[in-house]
Amino acid sequence: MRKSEGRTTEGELLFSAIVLGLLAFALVWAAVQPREPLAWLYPLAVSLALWLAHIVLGRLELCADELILPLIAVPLLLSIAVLYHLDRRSAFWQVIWAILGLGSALAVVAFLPSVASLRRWWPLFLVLGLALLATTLFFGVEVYGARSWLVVGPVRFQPSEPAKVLFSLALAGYLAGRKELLMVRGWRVGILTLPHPAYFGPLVLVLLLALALMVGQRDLGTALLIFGLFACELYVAAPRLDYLFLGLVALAGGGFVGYRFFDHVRARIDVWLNPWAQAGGSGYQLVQSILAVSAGGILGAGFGQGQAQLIPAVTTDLTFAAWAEETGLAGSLALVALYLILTERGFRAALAANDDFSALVGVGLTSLFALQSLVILGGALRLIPLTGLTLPLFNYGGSSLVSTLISFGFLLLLSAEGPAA
Amino acid sequence: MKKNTHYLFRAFVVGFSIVMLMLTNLTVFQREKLMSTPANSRRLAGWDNQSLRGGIYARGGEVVAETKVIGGPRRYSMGWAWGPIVGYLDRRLGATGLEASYAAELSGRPLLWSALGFNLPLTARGEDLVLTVDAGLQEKAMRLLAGKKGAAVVLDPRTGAVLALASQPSFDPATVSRDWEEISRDEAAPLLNRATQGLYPPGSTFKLVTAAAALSRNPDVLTRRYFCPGELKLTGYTVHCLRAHGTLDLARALAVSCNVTFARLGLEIGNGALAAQAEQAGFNAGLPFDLPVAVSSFPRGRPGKGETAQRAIGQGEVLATPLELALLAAGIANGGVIMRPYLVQERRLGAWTVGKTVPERLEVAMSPGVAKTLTELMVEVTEHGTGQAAQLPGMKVAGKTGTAENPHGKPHAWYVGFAPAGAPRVAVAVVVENGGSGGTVAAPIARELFETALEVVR
Repeated sequence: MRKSEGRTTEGELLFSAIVLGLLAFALVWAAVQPREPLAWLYPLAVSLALWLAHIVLGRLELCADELILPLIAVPLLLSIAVLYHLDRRSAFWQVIWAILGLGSALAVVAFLPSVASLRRWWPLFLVLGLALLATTLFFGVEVYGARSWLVVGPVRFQPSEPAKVLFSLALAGYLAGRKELLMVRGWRVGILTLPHPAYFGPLVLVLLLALALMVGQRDLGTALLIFGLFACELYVAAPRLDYLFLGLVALAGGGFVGYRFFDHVRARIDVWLNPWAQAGGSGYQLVQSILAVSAGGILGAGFGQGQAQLIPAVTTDLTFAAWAEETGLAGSLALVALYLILTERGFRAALAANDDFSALVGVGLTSLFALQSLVILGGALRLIPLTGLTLPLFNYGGSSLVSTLISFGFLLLLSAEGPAA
Repeated sequence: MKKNTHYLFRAFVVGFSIVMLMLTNLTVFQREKLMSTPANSRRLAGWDNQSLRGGIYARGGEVVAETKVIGGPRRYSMGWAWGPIVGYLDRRLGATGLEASYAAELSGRPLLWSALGFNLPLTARGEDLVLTVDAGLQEKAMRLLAGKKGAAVVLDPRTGAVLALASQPSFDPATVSRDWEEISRDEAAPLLNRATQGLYPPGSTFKLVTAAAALSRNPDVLTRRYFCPGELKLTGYTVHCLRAHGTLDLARALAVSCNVTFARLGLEIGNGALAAQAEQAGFNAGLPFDLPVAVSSFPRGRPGKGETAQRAIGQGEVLATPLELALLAAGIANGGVIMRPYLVQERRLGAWTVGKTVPERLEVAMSPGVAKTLTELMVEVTEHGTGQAAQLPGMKVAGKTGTAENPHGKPHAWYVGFAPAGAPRVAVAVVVENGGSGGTVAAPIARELFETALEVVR
């Protein structure tokens, strides 16, 4: 079975995605004054990069999932259009990062023999990830209240983004060899049976890390995400309900400790509980996000017609609110559905994996993507407290975009390894 | 491992579904509410650039607010008197008052139309609002309260049409943007609409509710004799009167506002009966109105004797808005039936009338018999009791004063009533915060309002 030849499904879908993206850009371009003809290079460059990726994947003769690339292409191209309306500089940089990210993803697919080959390197990934986070503690710059940025020349870089990917690989490596041990019952505490401390040491380590992030960098979103990533991978590797229960207790405990002892955590939670009381102050961003989404109605204001400039940090955190305002419920539901389908493709790749490590990598990277999407979407809609995470593939953010594209590179490679071939 | 991967995926499906449900909720079900919240400056800016915002006119056609050209400035004539009603409209500050609650109509974009996602207005000009409020009366009410903290509501008990709705201190919609710093820092809270959102202990005006509850349960309370020794000792609370009133009947007790008698009546019928009567008159429930209204409250539950006695005389935890007490007076005036209050008489699009408010019943507060008896008692208050300052030449006035104790200093002065007692056309409620005695501070204001209002509605 050599369905890799031609990859016609991928080609057709990608073509539609590109047409959609160019149409969206045309609408925005027409609505924004002054009109710059050269701006057409932005969506065209990304389209070209995507098409080249399609051709390279075909040449590699892998049976990689044909839906992933077109599914990535839609939010990527739409984000160029939305960002162009909000802030042209961001759109320019987003194009650069998209091309860089696609190139890196292809490099992963092309040069890595298999995901499983990474397994023995997991301690290195852990150390690298920790080192990346540590750099921000020492050299970090504070942006929007979170001290999680490095500035190198003109480029702002968020080390926590690649660190998250590294952690999910490291965790998969750690868990893959120890899942039986984790199932062993050790201590009994009341109705709970805990594993031997030697096995849940990493849990404690990760929790401490999450707390350190909260304290040191004031980066609530990343802390939550690393915690969630750990919970997802552990649940799949060692399916025991009491772990899940412990995880929830730890989350509630962490939230409580954060609320009691850290002002910035309390401020976020207070705003979440009642943004209207401080609609002109600390609740302003959240209130404006909700109002933007609501203002969109069912069909939206139209591309380039929204007033999303009223939302603070709209390009980096809340591009989704701008999208919802301009395309309404129809557009926002479509986008959320697309993220769900991408999540499904990720899990599909994980399920098809031949070994535990690869499967856990698939689960970890997909969970990371889905969790991050849910945390920022939930935050923008006031389902949970708003944190400064990016919506993967859609918000402006170089390190986030490149890291997300690389993790989809891993998923593509994973999908090609399955027993389907 | 595979099984759990499936479960994990299902968990994410649930997560994304919740996000989708919330999106639907915000864009469809909560849209109406969110689009008119004062924090929302975004839509107003856009809407007003696409259509000519409708004007707001007083009962006699006088201009209250007008926009001359599309996207042009909003002009408020005599803005100082209209703040509590029209609110303000500002790109930066958002909108309040009628400018907010009728945002959709004023901008020519009916709610159904905009919920469908059409963001262009349906018509090139918005609807004009013609109010029930009389310009002269409104100005007079605002002037009578000037320099004080307080509120007044005047309405037509037969229809519920609001003739004046005053709250002081206030703001001028025309200059609110310029004065914002000062207004938002002012501790007297000029942005608070005391008429609809000020919650005060009603004091002795609440004796009307207590009397209504007693009369409808036990008609013989009218013919009974009561004895007031000047105070009534209860566990945890002692009810005082200014002096010992001695032996008296219900009419006299209301006329001199005898606390001991009404405390006894309250204890006799109990907290439940008081609460039920208060709720029939609109307490403990949201009031449908063109402006946001605070909920007047009478606590349920089983309080002790001291607490029940306090509530029977409108103290303790009983709280009411001036609008609520005006409706109580209007209900008594209208044979026990409270009409739904409204500010907007008519909506016009150019020469066409696109909407006309039809008066409707809000609640039956009491039986016609009880209402008639209460009216007679209230006339006694004006003729021989605490409300003499509200007397009008050649006309019987029904009223009740209140002097409400509160933790913030001097008592709040209250007056509620209606005139003429025989065929009521006007009902009022007046409160002056920390003003002192209701009979000497609030009743004279009410008299002035009666005089002007009776010329407006014939």
